[in-house]
Amino acid sequence: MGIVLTRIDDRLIHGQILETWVPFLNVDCIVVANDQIAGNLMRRKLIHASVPKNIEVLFGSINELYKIICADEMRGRRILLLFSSSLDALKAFELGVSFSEINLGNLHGGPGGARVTCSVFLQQEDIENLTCLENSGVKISTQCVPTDRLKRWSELLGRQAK
Amino acid sequence: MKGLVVVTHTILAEALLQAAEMILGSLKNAAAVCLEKEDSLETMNRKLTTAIETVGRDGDGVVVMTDMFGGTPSNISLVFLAEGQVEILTGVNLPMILSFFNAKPDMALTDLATSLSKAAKEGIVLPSALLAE
Repeated sequence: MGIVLTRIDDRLIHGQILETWVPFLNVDCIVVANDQIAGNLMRRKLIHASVPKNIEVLFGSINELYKIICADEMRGRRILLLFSSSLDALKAFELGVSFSEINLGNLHGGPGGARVTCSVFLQQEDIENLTCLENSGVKISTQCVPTDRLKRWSELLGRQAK
Repeated sequence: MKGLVVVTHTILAEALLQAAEMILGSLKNAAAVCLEKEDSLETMNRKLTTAIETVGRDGDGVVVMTDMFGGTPSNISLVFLAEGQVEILTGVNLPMILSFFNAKPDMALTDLATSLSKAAKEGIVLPSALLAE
């Protein structure tokens, strides 16, 4: 399978994805892994309509994700995999969806999150989920758009502790 | 009186309304919602809800103009879509805004939205192609 970017972004598909990451990585398929959206036809239709026709968009619940990503027809695709939360990413990883890196895009959470970049605020729960992934060999970093400097998890944790 | 909300990535919405004011004079029932990098989805939704409620207080309907279909300003606006009450238009430009204020006040909201969409598209002109005709 060809996941070219796994990203946690509470906005899922939006301008930064469509205007920067998709062309930068030559993505031809976006997979939105989200239980709410997978079950909401209206939201799926609207998201579909906003994506250029040459990019395929697939929706799935976290439980269905492994089947979607590992399907035969996904071979050779350039996939951008999107989660809206660290918990969903961790769940998918534990269900066998394999990715080696996670990009943190926009994560705002509720009040009281620790600011690590201008668009990433981590709750204690996020830190635990992401640490768990990092310890399992998944490299966590922040980079909102391709031209931003990539910051690794260790650097982010250092910043958050200050 | 119908209300207008312009919602964009950062200060574009504010600047567009200022540009419209420069041409038309002071604007009534119009609000800019500027979404910033630091804003959480909740903050964005709160800003937008407040704006729609404020400009829509007359109950005559609200037009929400967003900067780009598929972008966050557009994505968060779509949930407010309600026939006869809230219309969403993406790809806001100055002709679209000016046409809103110059429209007949008794126009049905859906008809207004259709005419604004047309005005916005007609506002995009490639002069070199015109000259070549």
